[in-house]
Amino acid sequence: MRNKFEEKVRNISAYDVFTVDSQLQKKVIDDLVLFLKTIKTEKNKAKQKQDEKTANNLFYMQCFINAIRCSLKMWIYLKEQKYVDAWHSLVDAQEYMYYSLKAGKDIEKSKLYLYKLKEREQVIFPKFKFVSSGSIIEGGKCSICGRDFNNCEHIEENLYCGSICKRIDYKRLEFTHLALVENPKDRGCIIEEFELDKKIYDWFTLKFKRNTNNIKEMEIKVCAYRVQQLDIF
Amino acid sequence: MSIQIKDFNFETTSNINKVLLIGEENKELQKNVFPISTTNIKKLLENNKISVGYNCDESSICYEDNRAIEYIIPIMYISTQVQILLPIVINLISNYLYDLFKGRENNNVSFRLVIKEKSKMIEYEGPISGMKEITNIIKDKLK
Ligand SMILES: [Zn+2]
Repeated sequence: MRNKFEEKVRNISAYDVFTVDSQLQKKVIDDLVLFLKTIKTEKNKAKQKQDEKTANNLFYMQCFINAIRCSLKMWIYLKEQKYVDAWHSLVDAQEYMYYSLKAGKDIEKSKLYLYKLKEREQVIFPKFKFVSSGSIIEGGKCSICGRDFNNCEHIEENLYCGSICKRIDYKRLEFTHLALVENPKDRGCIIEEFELDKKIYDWFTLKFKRNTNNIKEMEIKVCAYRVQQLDIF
Repeated sequence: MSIQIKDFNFETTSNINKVLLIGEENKELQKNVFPISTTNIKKLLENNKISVGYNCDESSICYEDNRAIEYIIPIMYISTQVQILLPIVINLISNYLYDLFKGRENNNVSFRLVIKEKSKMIEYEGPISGMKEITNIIKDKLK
């Protein structure tokens, strides 16, 4: 599995650039999705045997492959001029790499790819203003054992035999406020459109989008909340 | 990094638990509000044989998630052997947080510790590495 993984990463790097044809990149993504299935089948076998070391190694591969998959998606979205989706794909790729570090495997390799992603961020995207939404939460279950999150010993964001622990299925989730922040938990939450002199512009392209009739308040369009969809379980 | 000492009055009759987590009463919600980290911090300490309780009924608890990257630890009161327990608590939390923030540029944390006997609260905000300072403050300033 390890050799297969390393070979895949080596071969794919040629596709992980802007100029490669999108159809070819989509094919590579399909291939990666299949490979992820194999990784997860192996991981489940290791979990059943309670072989934590193997399960965590496979988790590392799962994260790395997912990061490359997101990076490829970013290139495709950029070429389609779907810039919000491209940004979200890059943020997800970075998140996957942060998670990969938790497995304690090949940390230098992960850091190198993270560095590459950071460079792309700085070259491709503008500086963003981030938003963060405050919410009130009650209840929830543990993603590791399925029990009430308050009544088990698992701790969020820790890696347990190849899976990350999260509080899921809240009993109550109520949004209370929205704030502009420097460092949000989710860097995917950004201002997408802004207003200047009663005109709305796109944050990515700076293109004029429309006039606004809103006299009293400033109009902006934000991505306030993204549902956690990372494949880390 | 910033460390502030503020007045803080708080009453507790029960000293069963070594660590007590203190929420903020929200009349509108009719709930006691704790930061979203609370359950994790409680489990982290309990998994290391430190008993932890709340200053309110557990059924009245809800959590606030402000989704900023700064990690907010619930307000904490250590009921016994502060000098011994505090460094252990800080060590456990910082090890957990170092792992949590691995690879990320930001690792800011907010930690508030109540000194009941002096009616004070120490508020720390800054990087994980600076949390140790709170131990020194307890030794020096609040004798
Ligand atoms: Zn659990």
